Amino acid sequence: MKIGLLVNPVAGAGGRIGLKGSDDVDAVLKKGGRPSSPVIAEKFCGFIGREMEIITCSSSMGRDYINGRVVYEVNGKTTAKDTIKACRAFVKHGADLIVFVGGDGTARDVYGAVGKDVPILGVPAGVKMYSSVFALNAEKAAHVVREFAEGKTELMEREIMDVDEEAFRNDMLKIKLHGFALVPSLRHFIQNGKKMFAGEEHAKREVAEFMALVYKRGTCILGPGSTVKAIADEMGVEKTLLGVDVVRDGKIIARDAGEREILDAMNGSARIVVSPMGGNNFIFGRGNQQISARVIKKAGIENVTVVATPAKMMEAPFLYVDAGDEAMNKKLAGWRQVIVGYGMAVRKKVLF
Amino acid sequence: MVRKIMLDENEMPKKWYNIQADVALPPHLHPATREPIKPEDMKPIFPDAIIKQEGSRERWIPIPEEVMEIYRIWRPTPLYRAENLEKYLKTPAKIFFKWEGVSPPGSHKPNTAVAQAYYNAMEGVERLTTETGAGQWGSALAFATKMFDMKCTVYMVKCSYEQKPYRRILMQTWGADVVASPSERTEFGKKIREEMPSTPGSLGIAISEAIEDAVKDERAKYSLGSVLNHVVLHQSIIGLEIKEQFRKIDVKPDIIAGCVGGGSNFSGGVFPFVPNKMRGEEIKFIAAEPTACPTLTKGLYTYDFGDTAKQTPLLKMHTLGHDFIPPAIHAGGLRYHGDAPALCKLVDDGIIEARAYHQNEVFKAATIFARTEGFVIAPESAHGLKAAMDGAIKCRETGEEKVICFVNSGHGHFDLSSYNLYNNGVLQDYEYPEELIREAMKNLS
Repeated sequence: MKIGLLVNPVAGAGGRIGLKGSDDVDAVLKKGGRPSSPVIAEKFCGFIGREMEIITCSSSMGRDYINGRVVYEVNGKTTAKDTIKACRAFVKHGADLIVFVGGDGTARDVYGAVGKDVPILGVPAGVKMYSSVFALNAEKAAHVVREFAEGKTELMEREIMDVDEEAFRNDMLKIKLHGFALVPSLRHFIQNGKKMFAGEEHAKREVAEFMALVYKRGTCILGPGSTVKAIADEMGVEKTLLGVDVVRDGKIIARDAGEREILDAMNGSARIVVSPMGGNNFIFGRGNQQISARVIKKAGIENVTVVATPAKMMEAPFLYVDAGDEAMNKKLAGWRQVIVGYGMAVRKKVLF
Repeated sequence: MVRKIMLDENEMPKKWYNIQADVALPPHLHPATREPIKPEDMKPIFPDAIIKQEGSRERWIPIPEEVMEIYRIWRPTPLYRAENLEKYLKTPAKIFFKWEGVSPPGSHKPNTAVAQAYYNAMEGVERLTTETGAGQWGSALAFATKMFDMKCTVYMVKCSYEQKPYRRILMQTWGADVVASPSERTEFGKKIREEMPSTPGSLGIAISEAIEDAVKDERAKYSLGSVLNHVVLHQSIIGLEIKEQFRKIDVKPDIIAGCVGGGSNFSGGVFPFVPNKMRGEEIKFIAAEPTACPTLTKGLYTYDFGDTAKQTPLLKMHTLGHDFIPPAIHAGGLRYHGDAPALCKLVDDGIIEARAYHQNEVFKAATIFARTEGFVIAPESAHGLKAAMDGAIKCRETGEEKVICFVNSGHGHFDLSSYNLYNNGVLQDYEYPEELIREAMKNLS
């Protein structure tokens, strides 16, 4: 079992000076921002213990914190390119899991480098952490890594999301979905420690078979994500994985649509199907902001269906909504059914 | 007030009460012809005595002495007054519970298992086949067949087989052959495994397998743990004892509650009181079921098959459809798509009320019960408890001193992993998405 460990040495620097991110490293450091990643990296390495085989980067990207074999040398100031190159080196050296200390920006870079080839796990140290690839804290992350090494975890698809920092500084929250990484998840949360279902793929297929029957006729707005995409596959329409698509009577009429296009494509009410996104499981407002409060209002709030896999719902005590409109958030909040199988739902409380 | 009301062994009822004498039931239909089923149609799977009971309209049916003898191992069961729970709820209501958890397998199920094993043994049957969900019924039949020196094959719903190894071990300890369903033993099992390799299994599938197994072996018959009239008949001993126990302390119950999976525990406790209600006495019956499998509250009252392979007779009942596979909830014994026809008829007639509860509220009630009355009860039984507690809380608001009784069908010693999930706050509340299902069905046709 080989773990690739990489630390983004500047992660978290923007947070304390209210910059809402550290993408522009120079500006952040100039204003006196101090990264949080070194402290967190040290904590994580303390929890992880010595018996694991670790490959890592030189100096502040790894070797400063852990006694691992260096497979990537850092030269001078580190950038996103170093993250990407280091991850590629980890893959080349046979890493079974890549652990990174950072935030959403680091997650994006790691995912960009390895995709779904190798599972990844984030140790939270960033300012923005909308992606759902992070463990709760350094200690929990070390626990997941140990369980992974013992084959006691299950790989789940998790969203890689990031905020447009420039827009964020201007008080606009634009969160984009960049893709789905594979992340080890503790089986502790699976009921009775036994699988009720054959796994994520089977569960998605069950949800898809059921929902495709419901959506046979009429207009429906399909949110991003692989659970919703499975429904489209079952309906025989080719849906984008990361975008919002509109389907009418089984045919796609708008692909990867923005808010305007969705509104234009609707004639009257429509069904909306979304899957909870990001670390906090938002049903609206994270990675699917195209489905705005206006779209939901036009479609009819009673026509919103939330779908997810049972394993994902077992880890989600609550769901959240951030439709960008207080009144709409209020209407969407409260107890809601989430379809998790063929003719099967769980009840979850939606908060805002 | 005494804490528990006991009956002597010689006070145990000597006859079962047959609801069919007082309620005319729509006949079971033949699966192929859709004509009312004839006794000979049931011969491949049931012994003659059971077939006769299934259609009998005799009000009282004597309990054979051989059955009584085994009943005496644990019967009569105590009727408890739950005073600590009353104090906890600050209710003026008086809460009683009939404790069926004292039987060797730990539930009410052997009341019929022993009777069925006896009648089969008398007719020379050497092996009984059956299905089990949570394992309660399977362990009851494993125990009962052993008492009559018979063999027993139990098709256990796969997810329970994996989740509840201790129930499986219990059955094996009584000598039963336990098979995870769908299995490779039957043609139907093989077919399901091919079509849905990862299915958690369902009671409907397991029933189909057990029936196929019995039909193929002339020395074997099949045994069903709930739903059918003869099962409900054997369970009437619960309600008859309750009646006698209340008579002893000169108390009349105002509300009787119980959980419903296939309906045998509830019917057993309530049916002996139904004639009283028909005579105009004021008494309320509450059937409590899970929201994940809400047959009585959301199902259609119509003819449907009892199993997935459509081998059983068509029964008129509240059903979610014979192909409905309910989520793997922790009250596994309540995961069945239909209910006892007699119970359904009485719900349809408005004599019995039905309510559905979520897993978390049910476990909350069970935990309160454990901390007040001491008993850790089965999640199934806790549905009945929840209904009783709701009734008692209502009394707190109205000030009424109602007498509320619930049938506490079994202990939860094999359900501790479910309690653990509840304690850790990760228990899921499953629901039946009624509107979407209706829409899907519309588009299917």
